[in-house]
Amino acid sequence: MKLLLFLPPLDESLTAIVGMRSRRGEKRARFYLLRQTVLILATTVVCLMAGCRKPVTSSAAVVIKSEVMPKPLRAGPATVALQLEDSSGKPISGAHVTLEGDMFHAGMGPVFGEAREIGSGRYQGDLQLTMGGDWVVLVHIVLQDGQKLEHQINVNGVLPN
Amino acid sequence: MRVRGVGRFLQWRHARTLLQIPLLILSIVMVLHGLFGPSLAPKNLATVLTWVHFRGVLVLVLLAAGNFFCLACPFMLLRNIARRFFRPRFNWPRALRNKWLSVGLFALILFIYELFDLWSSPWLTAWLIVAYFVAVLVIDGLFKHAVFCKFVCPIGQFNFAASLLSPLEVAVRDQSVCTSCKTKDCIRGRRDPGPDLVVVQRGCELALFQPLKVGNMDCTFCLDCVHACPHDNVGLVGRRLGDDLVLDNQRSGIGVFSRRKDLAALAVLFSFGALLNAFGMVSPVYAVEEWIGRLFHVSHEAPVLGTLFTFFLVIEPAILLGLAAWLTQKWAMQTRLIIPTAVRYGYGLVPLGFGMWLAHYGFHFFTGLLTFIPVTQNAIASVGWQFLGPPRWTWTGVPLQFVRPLEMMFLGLGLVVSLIVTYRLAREDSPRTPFRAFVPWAAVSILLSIAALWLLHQPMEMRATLLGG
Repeated sequence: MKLLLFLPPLDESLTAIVGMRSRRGEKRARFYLLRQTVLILATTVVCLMAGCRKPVTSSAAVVIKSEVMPKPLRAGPATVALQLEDSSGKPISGAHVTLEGDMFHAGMGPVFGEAREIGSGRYQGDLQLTMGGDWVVLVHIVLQDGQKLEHQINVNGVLPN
Repeated sequence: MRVRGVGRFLQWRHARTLLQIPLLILSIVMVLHGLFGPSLAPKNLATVLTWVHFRGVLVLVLLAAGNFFCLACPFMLLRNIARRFFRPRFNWPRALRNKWLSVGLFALILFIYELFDLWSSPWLTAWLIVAYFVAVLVIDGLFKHAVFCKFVCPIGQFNFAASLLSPLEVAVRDQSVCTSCKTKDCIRGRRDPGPDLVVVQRGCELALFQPLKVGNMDCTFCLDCVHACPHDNVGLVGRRLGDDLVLDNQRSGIGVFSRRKDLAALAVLFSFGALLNAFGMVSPVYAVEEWIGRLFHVSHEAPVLGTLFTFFLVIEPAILLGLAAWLTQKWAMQTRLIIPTAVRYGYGLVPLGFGMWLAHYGFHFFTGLLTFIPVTQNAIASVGWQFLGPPRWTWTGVPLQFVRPLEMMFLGLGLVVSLIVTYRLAREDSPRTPFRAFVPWAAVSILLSIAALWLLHQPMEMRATLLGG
C-alpha cells in the first residue's frame, strides 16, 4: 500500500527500493515493482468482485401486477398503477412504494415519484417522463415487516411530446 | 513547454506514465463495474464514464488544447509494460501502412454502437474496453513501433482528425538547431554511450521526424521526441487555426494530404459520421428504419442499419463531394480530376464535423455532468463502504436551456471555420477564380449545417428496442 502513495521517477524509486545500481539490479527492481502493481490491482479486483453482487430484487411470496398509463405513452406525466398480493392472492396493504424512472442511455437523470395506496393492495403514483424513448421504471417497495423489494417495469417506445 | 508548472511536468520523462496510471486503474474499475455492477446504464460506471464523460472531455480537450488523451492512453501503458518482457519481431505489412483499416474499424465501431446499443449496455461496454486492451497487446506485441496507434486504433483516428483543429502542436522551436543536429535523436532515440548502445529514450514510434513534421496527423502527443531531443528544441507550440487542413506540403511520416485518399476518407467519415451518430438518437430515425425494414422485408436491425450506414457514409458523400468537385472543375476551370479535387476539398468539412461531434458529445457531457457522483457513491456503497453517503440520484448536470445555446455555438463555429478553410483551399488552388472554386464546397458545408441544425432540433428518443426486437 506504501507504493500507492509514492510515485517517484521510475529509475530513482527502483534504486531506492532495491539499493542496487547495476543494470541487472534495475531489471530485478522493475520486476519487483511490476509484481507489486499486479498484487495491488488483483486485490482491488477481488474487493470489487466480492462487493458487486446484484441485490435480491423480487420475492416469490409477493406478486406484483403493474401498468403504466396512458396509452400510448408520451413524454410527460405518466401514471404507474400497482397491485401487490401475496402468494394466496390476498392484497398487501401498508407498503411504502417509491417510483424511479430511468432511461436506458447513460447520463440521463432519473425521475422520482411516490405511490399512494388507493385501495386494498392497490397503489398509484406519477412520474414525469422527460423525453421519448425506452424507459425502465423501478418500483422500490418496503413492506410492513421491513422486507425490501424492487420491481422493474420496462416501458418501451415512449413517444416524444 | 515554457509555461511554469505544466511545462516542467510535461518535460519530465515519466509524466506520461503518471497520467496513464490513474486512467488504467479507472479502466479496470469500469470493466469490473460493467461486468458485475448494475445492468442499467445510467447506474453503471462503464457506461456513464465511457459514453458521457470520456467522450465529452475528449472533444473539449481536443478543442481547447490537443491530443492529450492519446498522451494519457491507458492501453499504451499496458503495452509498454508488456514490451519489457516480450519484444515485437515483425514489421507491419506494407499493404496495411495506410488508414484504410482504421477507417473501416472506425466505421465498424459506429455501426456496432448503434446495432448493439452500446450506450445502454454496461456489459458490452466493458467487453469493448477489454477487446481494446487485447487488440493493443496482440498487435503491438507482434509488430514493431506504434502500429496500433498509427494504423489501427479507431479512437486514435478520431483524435487525429479532430486535432487537425487543435490550437497546440508538437513542433520544433528553432529549425536551425535541427539542421546542425547530427544524432537525430527525436526519431532514432537516445542511446546509452556504452558498448551496448541501449536505447534510454525512444524516439518517435510513429515515424514523424520533427524537423519535417507538419501538423497533428498521426501525432499522439507521447512527447518521446521532446524527451529524446538533446537540445531541448521540441515542444508544444501554438499554431494558426486551419493550417493543418490547408497546407499541402510534404509531411514527415504522412506524405502530401491531397494525395492521400485514405486520409481524405477519414476526414469524410469523421464529418458525415458526426451527423449519422447524432441521427441515431432522434425520433425520425425510427420511422426511417421501419420504412427500410418494410421496403426490404427485413425485421432484423443489422441490414437496416447497414443500409443507413451505406447511404450516409458512402452514397451521400460520393454524391455531394462528387458534384461539388465536378462543379469546381467546370466553373473554376481547374485541371485536377474529380477524385483528387474531392480529396483536396474534403478536408474542409472537418471543422463542421468537429462542430457536430462537440454539439452531440457536449450535450451528453453537460447534461449528465454530475451523474458519475451518485453512480460512484452507489458502486462504493455496494462494496460495503458507506463513507461517500447515500447516492444523490437527483444530481444530473447543466439544465437543458443552457446546453442548447452551446450546441448551436459549436455548430456555428464549425460552419464558419469550414467556410474559412474551404476559401483558403480555393484561393490556393484557383488564385484567379477562388470564389468559383469556393461556392460548390460552401454549398455542401451549408447543406450539412442545415441538416445538423434540423437534427439538433428533433425530439430525442433513445430506444434500445427496434423493429419489434
